Amino acid sequence: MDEPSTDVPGDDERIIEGTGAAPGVAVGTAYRHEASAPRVHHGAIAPDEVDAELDRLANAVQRAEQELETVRTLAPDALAADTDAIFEAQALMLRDEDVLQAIRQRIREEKEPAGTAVQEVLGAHRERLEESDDAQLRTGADDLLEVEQRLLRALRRSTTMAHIGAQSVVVAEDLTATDLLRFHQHDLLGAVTAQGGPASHAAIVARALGLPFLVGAGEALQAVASGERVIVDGTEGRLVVQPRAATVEEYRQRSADTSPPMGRGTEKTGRPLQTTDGHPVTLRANVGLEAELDRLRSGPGDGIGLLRTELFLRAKGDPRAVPEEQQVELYRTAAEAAGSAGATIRLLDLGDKDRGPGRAAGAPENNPVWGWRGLRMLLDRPDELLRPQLRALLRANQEGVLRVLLPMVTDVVEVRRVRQMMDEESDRLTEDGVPHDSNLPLGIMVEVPAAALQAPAFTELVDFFSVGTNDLTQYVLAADRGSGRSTVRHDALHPAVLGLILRVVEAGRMSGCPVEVCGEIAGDVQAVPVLLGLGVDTLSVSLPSLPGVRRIIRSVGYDAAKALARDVLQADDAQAVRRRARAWIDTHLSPAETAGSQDENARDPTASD
Amino acid sequence: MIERTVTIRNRAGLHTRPASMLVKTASRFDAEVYLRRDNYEINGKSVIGVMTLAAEQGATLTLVVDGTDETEAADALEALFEDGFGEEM
Repeated sequence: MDEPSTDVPGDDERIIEGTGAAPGVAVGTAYRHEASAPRVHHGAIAPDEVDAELDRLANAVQRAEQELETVRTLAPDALAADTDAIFEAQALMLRDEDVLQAIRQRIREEKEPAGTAVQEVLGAHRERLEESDDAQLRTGADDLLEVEQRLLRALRRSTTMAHIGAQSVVVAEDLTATDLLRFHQHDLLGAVTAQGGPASHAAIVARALGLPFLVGAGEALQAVASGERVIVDGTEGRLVVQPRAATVEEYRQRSADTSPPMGRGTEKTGRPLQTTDGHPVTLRANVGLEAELDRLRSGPGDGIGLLRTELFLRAKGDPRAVPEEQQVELYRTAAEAAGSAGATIRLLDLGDKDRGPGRAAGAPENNPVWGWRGLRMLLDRPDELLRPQLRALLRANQEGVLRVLLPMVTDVVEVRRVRQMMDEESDRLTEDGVPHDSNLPLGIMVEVPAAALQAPAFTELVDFFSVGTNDLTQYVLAADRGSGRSTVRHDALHPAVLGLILRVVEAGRMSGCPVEVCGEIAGDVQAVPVLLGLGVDTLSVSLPSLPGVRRIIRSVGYDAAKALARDVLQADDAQAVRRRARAWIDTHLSPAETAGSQDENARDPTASD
Repeated sequence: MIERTVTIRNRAGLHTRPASMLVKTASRFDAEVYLRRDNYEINGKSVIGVMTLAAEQGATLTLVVDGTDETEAADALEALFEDGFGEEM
């Protein structure tokens, strides 16, 4: 790694280290975002303004609810019980009719502006909670404050973003997924937060949007002022403030090599992706938004390795209720974008929060992340969810190469039931004379440890395995991926998780059943050589990670990676695995490769290792 | 109208998460639901109201349910309290 010299006189360049949460590099102007509650106008309103003010309130409530829903939508996998309970409670608070009634009354009778009324009413409730002797109950006041701020922000949202200039890099204490989405509409180039972790909802959103995102950069707030020039490097995990011209130039070179994320046809599509010693590797893309399909079309690639239908369908409304016809269209679009390499479509992976309203839904679960979700929900609602989706896929398959992937599988019995239903639906389509193609490979997500442990039993029933490291890691390590203190323990490079992946790979090899890895770990530079060494030869990563992962694959030797994998399986913990992987990368890859400054097409493929 | 005495059994008390469970359950029924602590009474379908009861472990509340499906509602709500809202007791 190059160590920039910092002792040049009059040189203001500063470097702040953090954790890269979304890869990529951006050079832009810092914009300090303060999350504090907006100031509220305290004067009285005129009598003829009451109706308009009531409308503003209603609109703000609706917007705040949409914001919450957007955040939930964008992080459907992050079913961490805590996070989800908070979303749910906040939504209920926003919809609290008693409280809204009190706010409306103040607007009508006291002629208060909506913002003041919100603050007065919620403030009074908060004070009541703050008086409690019980520490746990006092935290309710924080929840209320968050709702109050969300409402206040929604009330004056039209002005919130006014002073964000073009080409900005937002710097904040912390950012929510919603914040990022809002900033994204204003030509945002990248983001830096003092807090936060790479598994947050915001990080997932940043990766989906292709925004370089640096988190945990604690010193950023002290070191950066609005208007200063900065470079955010989400790949290496650092922020450069007031960079020297030479530094900017160096980064420009680098970013020219890595962006736009899918390249501009610089890579020859015909050239097979392989390691330095000729071991072929397939690299696919994870997608969840229709907009991502366009970026897929423009690049070389091995198709779609994971299409999250719950995200895809949610763009059309309630994902449980998108009509079969409309689903057929969507899957055809995906198949067309993926081209001959095909697309793996994961069936709806909905959780407790998506169970829908009404008494039939039953009592909420204590541990939704371990509860009624994924295939379990699909099998309980075959006519409403599973059969229509299978039919749509069978029908869409006639023009493309589709594969079906089952989420959250635990037992072979579950897969047998899906197989049977798929056969039945195929027969029914034939009877009805509806064109379809029943040659639809069926695979399972390996997320539940039981499925990994029983992988050999599954090989009889499935056409492929896809290891979902995000959930597998959380179940194996008993570490919440989304929130709380255990997040730091959530690292898929733990030897126990790697051991399970190896078990699945071996089961697949014995039976000729392909195994791919589609979790965030597949896009982690340190993890790629380890996964290859374990025998994984298909990876599926988010779009922004594709170029970096492709470059790494081209620069590692398969035999050397196997030795690395054997070595890290003996390590004590995830940190030890990472140390060994880092050291291995430093000695086995040329610096030019990791920096990406060399034209890979001109490179002799046997030069490194 | 049904009146029942319920006790907070879970250690963390009636904080945000149990409050939202309670309101979601109450909202499934047509019956009106009220919770009373000393002289303070709130609507059992208002999550912010329920939170402001600030009911800690051991606190005793009066559950008042009134409507056509009051028996079912009272049973479902009482069960939540009995179960400590599925939390550590």
